[in-house]
Amino acid sequence: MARTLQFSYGGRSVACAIEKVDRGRLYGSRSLETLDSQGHPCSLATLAADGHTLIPMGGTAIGHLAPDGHWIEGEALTAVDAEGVPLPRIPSSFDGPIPLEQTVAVDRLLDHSIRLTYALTPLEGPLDAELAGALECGVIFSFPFSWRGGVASDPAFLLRGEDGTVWLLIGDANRIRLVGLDQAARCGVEVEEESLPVEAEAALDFRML
Amino acid sequence: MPEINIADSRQRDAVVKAVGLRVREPIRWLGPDGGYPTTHRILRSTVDHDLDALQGRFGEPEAIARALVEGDPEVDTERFGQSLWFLSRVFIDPTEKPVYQVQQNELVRDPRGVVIERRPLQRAEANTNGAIPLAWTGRRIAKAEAVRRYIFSDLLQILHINGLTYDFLHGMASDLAASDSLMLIGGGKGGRDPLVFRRGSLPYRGFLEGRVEGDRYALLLHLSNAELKRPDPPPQVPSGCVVSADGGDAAGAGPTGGVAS
Repeated sequence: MARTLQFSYGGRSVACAIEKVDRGRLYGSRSLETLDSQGHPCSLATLAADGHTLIPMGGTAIGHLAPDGHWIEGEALTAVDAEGVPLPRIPSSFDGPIPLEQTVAVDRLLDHSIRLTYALTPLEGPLDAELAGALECGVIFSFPFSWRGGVASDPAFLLRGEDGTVWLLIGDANRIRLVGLDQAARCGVEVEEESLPVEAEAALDFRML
Repeated sequence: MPEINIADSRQRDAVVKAVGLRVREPIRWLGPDGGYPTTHRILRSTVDHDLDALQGRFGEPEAIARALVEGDPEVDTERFGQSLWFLSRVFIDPTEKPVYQVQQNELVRDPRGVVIERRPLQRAEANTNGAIPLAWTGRRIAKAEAVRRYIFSDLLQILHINGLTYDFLHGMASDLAASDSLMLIGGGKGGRDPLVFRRGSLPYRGFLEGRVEGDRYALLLHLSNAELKRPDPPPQVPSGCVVSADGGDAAGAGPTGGVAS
């Protein structure tokens, strides 16, 4: 059963079912089949550093160790930012209505790389008329989105597609900086030039001719 | 920082740099003692202790269950829990032995997941830094329309490497900024091929965007490999037709299953 998201707009609540859409569902997909010399299907496993311990899929886990080597449970860890300030917990976007208050220009959407796309379908009848009108006029709503809750959220956008579908796009921000002449990209390895002593004006050497 | 060979509207081309722009806010994790823990990959099981090994050792599932209750045959208490480094990926055959010679095929599936073709692995050749520059196709699309038609999943900024390429790219950015549109660019002679940055990597359609503020500019390459649209509905099967239970395999085995009611 599709999950549902609640949005609030103009004092009204709008509930929508979400349906993930990706390349595989639009165009199909390709997968790799690996066979040995006898034509038997092969699978991937992990080989440990000793050269003979084979670890099947699911045979490893991630663990956290304190500086003294003791095991730390994941729940005991605290998330902090680069300055060491604890980060507040963010609820899941499925826990409550998402306010559609902030709108952005097209350029702001283009500043992001979209990695998840969901088609929205209103649960009860057509979409709220005021919201539908705003989307049809080209309004793009922006809000933070968190699937499970946690300490970080992703930028998300709500807009109407060319086919009339209302889309939820979740992505990552990009840092775009306008550059001038002096901000050329580096090419190859830079070699430091030795600082040579300034000589008195030397005569031109024409022996190279 | 990959290089790309790109042409402008006058068919002038240059090799310039492209840089990724994705930003991740740094999040660090503190332990209960205020120190920063280290993350390790831990050994949890090996092929000698997985279900296949237990089946070979004990036989029937009931015997395996009894063994699990009475002892811990699935755990090597000497080794499980150790940290792992310098791991390698290997292929294993159905008997869980490493293999050293493999052949790889591609299985092409339709949107419903049905295999429609089985073929030797094909890797697209890179075309973004070849002898043929990426073509300025002249096909523009308004930004407002583009974000409603395509999913832009990645973004590169194209940077100049010297004064000449600065003028070259600034001119392209100014042209695009003035029209408030994206420009489709493509690979190959006619500029119709998708962009492939490395051999075997995903092909993308590329759209250039320009932003200018005086002497400063940003020439952005938006990459897309999907349209913003709903999948086609599955074909309706008329009543009384034979329907396979699993959709069958159009490239190999025939459909299995019975008659739809």
